[in-house]
Amino acid sequence: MQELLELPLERLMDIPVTTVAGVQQGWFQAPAALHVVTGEDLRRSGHRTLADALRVVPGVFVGSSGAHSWVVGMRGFSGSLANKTLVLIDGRAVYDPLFGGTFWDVQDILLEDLERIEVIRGPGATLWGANAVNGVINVITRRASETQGGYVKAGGGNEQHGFTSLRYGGKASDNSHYRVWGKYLQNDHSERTGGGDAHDEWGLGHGGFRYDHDLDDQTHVTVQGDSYDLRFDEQARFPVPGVHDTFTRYRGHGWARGTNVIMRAARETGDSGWSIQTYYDFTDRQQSRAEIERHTADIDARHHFRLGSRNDVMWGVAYRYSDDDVRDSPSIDFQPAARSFKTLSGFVQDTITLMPERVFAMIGTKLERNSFTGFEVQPSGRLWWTPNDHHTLWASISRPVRVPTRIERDATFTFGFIDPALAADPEGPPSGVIVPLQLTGNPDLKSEKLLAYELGHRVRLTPSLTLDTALFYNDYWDIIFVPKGTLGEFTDEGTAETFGGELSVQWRALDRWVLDTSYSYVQVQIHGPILPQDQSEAPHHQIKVLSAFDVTDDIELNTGIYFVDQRPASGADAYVRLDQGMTWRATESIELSLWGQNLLDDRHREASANVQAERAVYVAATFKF
Amino acid sequence: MILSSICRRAAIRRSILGAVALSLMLMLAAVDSGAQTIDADKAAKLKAAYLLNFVKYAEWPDDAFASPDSPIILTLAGQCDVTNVLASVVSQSEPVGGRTVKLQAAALPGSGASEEQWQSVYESMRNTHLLYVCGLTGDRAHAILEGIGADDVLTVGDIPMFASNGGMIGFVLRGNRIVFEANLEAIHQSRVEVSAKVLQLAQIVGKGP
Repeated sequence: MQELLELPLERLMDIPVTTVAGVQQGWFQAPAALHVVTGEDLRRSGHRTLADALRVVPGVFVGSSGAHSWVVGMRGFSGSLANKTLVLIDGRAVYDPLFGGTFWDVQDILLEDLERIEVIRGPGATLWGANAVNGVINVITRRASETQGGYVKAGGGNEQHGFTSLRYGGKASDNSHYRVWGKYLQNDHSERTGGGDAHDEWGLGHGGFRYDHDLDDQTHVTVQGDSYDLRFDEQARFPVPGVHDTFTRYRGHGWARGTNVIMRAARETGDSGWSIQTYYDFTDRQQSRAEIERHTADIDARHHFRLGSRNDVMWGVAYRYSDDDVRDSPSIDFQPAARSFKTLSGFVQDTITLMPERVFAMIGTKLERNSFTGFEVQPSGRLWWTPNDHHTLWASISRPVRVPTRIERDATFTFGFIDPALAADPEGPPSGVIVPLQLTGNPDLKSEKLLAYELGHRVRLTPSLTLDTALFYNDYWDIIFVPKGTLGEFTDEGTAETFGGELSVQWRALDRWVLDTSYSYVQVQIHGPILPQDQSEAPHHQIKVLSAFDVTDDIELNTGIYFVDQRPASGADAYVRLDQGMTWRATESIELSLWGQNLLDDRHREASANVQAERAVYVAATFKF
Repeated sequence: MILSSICRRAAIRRSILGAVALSLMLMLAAVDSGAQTIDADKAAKLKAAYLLNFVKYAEWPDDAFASPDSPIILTLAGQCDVTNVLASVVSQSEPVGGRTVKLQAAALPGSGASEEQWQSVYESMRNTHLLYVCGLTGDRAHAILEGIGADDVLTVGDIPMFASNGGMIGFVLRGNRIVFEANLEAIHQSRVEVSAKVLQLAQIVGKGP
């Protein structure tokens, strides 16, 4: 009871009060390296995009590589191979199967309506399936009943030229609620290394709705959807065919549009529950003169139930259909230009109570049949021990896979055209023969495999101090990447080991002051005939300090300090980022805030050698009615 | 191109329907309609923690207290699961804003009591600062709110639709968690000031000004 009294009000709202014997209750007992970013955490971090918001998560690397692009990775593979993380928004997979990564500029929600972001470092194989190799990022928005009333936010600054969001939530009946929302933002270009405009200004308009209906206390139906329109400036270099080592500069505009609708029904009675979800997602993106249009349809059903007194079984089936149509650019070509990809998967997992309230085990596997590699099995096992309310010790072994992407199988990259004689001796006579420098896809690629060993411990040292540690050792084989010479064919003969860990400390130092700190370490060793790019793409050390201080009931001082080690692949030195914000609740319905981001540095490189992240300041006003 | 995509879609539709049909059959066969098992002890402790937080984040007008040393009075009305937990916690808790917190339980008359008896009960409850209503019917809770009619009492309830029916804060069970609703109109009509911190976390029912 004493512990409950020490918790801040917002944490009281997260405590589950139903007994589901044998199944973990809440974050503290979870047998995985789980971190939860709540809507409050996000509000107090000052970040205005989802990609930036992930900077607060222990062990996650976020590096900006342009005004509207970011590399997000965890446990190594934070660069060109950042294709090993599954990203979901309200159950909809948003990573693009074309290249396995995520276009973060359009993964955008009304930040005020975020319920939480669950980040699992390490494989989430059983529940989430292929591609959840290094981690799962699960973004969950609040139910419509929790976003009632009106909300308007507007602001701007030197980098964020202007942003405005508004939402209105209402009640359709006693048991059904809805919300409609819209946002618009316009951002500045980033700076080129060496000075100058990187010509990547961008603007995004986004709107959506959500409708929730409660059939009864345990059964819910949801329909939600949204649509966006992104415009950006861009510049690129294209090789000129048939001429030795010559490029044209292209400057133009790119865009992206998308629409999705999700329908979900779920019933949860503590002892058992089921959910079924289906969604349709359309995206169309033109960037560097290539255009990709994609349609995705997905249906996912799952069910869990008690079996006897010691088992809690969960199983599910899912089917996903995704087709794309690519229009080539001078640098990249896909054969075939259009392809459809189907995945039928099922999973089953059993949570076993080995000793009531003390020792539990979870074993499970995901089975999948997909259009590229056929049949894949992904087993995993976890064991955890909760000797008392203050300790959780857990261990796991998993074997997830990553299915090759279209880029690795069907694409041909053209880096340039050269006359071999001139390339060898620029002063000598040309041979007259021009050859392309290319990297091609390989249709015979196998899927990448990982054997991941993890260990973790959580301890509540005092009611206001919690320590969370996770260690991992990952053994990868059949890694797909470019060969050592960069030219030739994608190969799947890479192997790698990564190891490291994350330590995070949550400390309620004073009634009005919460301090969340984390340290993470990762070491990547890559072997085999592939370019060991990622060894220099994952910073070894990261430290994050987030401070939330209530000066008075109405004034907040929020601080974020991020230390990121050097990243040689992008020529980035180690840097310290300082974000400082002040929020003033002027009245019950009006809130004003002022934020400075990257205050210590005028600019620095993060995930790109060519563009730099800059210092930014913005003000925002929020009005609720 | 168009023809082949239509054909593809028909085949897909069939296999999707097949997968859905199979899973629905299996799920409906195994579903049980057992009720949620609430951990009563945990729920009581959580509500007690909430109540103390509400006391911490509320400000009463000066004339609600007889003297600067007067305690903050927390009155429980009805069959409350938090009674024991709250009693032990309040006796050990630190003062809030310089005032100690005092717990009392209202002696509610049984059914068949006359209106006069209820009126005298309301009188005795008027000196309270926080009134917590639980385990009563919606009508009785509403009658108590009307009967007390004081504008310097923070009314909190553990009754369905409490906030929607005029109470200031009501507990709600959402899924497997306990959260709370706040009636902005009732809060504004009262002279008790509830911190924006609480309102920000509450689900708002009842329109504000």
